[in-house]
Amino acid sequence: MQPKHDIFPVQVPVALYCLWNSRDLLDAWQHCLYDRYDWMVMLIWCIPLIIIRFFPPDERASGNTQAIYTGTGLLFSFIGTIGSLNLLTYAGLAVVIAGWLPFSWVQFVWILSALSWMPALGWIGSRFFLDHILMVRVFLSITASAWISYHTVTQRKRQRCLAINR
Amino acid sequence: MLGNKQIILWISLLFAIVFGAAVKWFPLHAEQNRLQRLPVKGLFFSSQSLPLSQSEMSVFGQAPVIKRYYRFGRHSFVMIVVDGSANRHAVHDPLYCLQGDGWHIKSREAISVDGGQADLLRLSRNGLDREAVFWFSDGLSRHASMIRYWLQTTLRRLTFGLSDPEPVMVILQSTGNEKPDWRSLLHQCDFLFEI
Repeated sequence: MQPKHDIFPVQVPVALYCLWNSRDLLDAWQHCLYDRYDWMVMLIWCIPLIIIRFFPPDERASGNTQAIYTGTGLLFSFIGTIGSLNLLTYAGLAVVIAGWLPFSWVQFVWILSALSWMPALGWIGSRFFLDHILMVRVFLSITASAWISYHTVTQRKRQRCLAINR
Repeated sequence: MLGNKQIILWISLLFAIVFGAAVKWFPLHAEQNRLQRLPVKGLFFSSQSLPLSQSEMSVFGQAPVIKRYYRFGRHSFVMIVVDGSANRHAVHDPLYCLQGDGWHIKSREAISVDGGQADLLRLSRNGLDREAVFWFSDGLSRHASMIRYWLQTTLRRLTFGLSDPEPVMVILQSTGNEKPDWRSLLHQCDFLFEI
């Protein structure tokens, strides 16, 4: 069974709170021409969450950073909801989700790549790369997901080798 | 036993839920009759209300909207005004929506209007050419920047209405094949800037 760090019981309701605040995504996926496949892009973006289940993190090392991610995501989602700024609300969801992964600097790139499933990229794309919005979304999410998955898995393997050698 | 981090997060979550619910239950004051300030007819112009299309209704939701056909001298145009005070997400970037609706934006040009500037868009779709002008107005200043609108409306909500008034979005569309001289038309149509 997956070991749970000490903030796990609050991570789940915070993630649900952020998901609830991000429910406008469903509307965008259904009605916006540039966002209709974003659900698929979001699934791709979330793949590292599944991969990491097979390489459980060192719970003691990750507890603090996960609390920071969870708190920051909650703050973003809260301000985004009160201020009616969906970009910030979705960023909050992305940061909270990132809290489920062990800390690494690649994580920041992965969080930034969450833009791939946000309607904001469609808005940017409609101005600069109108005909390639979906392609950019898919490329961004696959690249970032593959990178963080590879980085996390190699990091875990290295840690295990070091632990065995000790 | 709950750790400190967990306690802080639980309290923060509880605060966010309670405060967020309170804000939803007691929304910011929205001036109900603001859109009604726009005159229906005057010495040189007349108008008639137009029904919203299904897609417009789904986009604007419960937000107050006015859609009118205006006739000014030999010119005519359709005007849509959306007040996002009660539902900010009812106000979408016109460029984004028009392109999503299949329109190609041939050009975008800033033009001066009373209190600021608007954007003039030249559009085409399936051989049809149209022109549209849009701006955001808080009653005093006018601009055509979506980012500025987002900042204004977010700041207004975060300060509970203490910042500037909520801007409304105004869109004018040409009708038929007519291509009005928008600069001259907007200069003459003072009534458009009463909102």
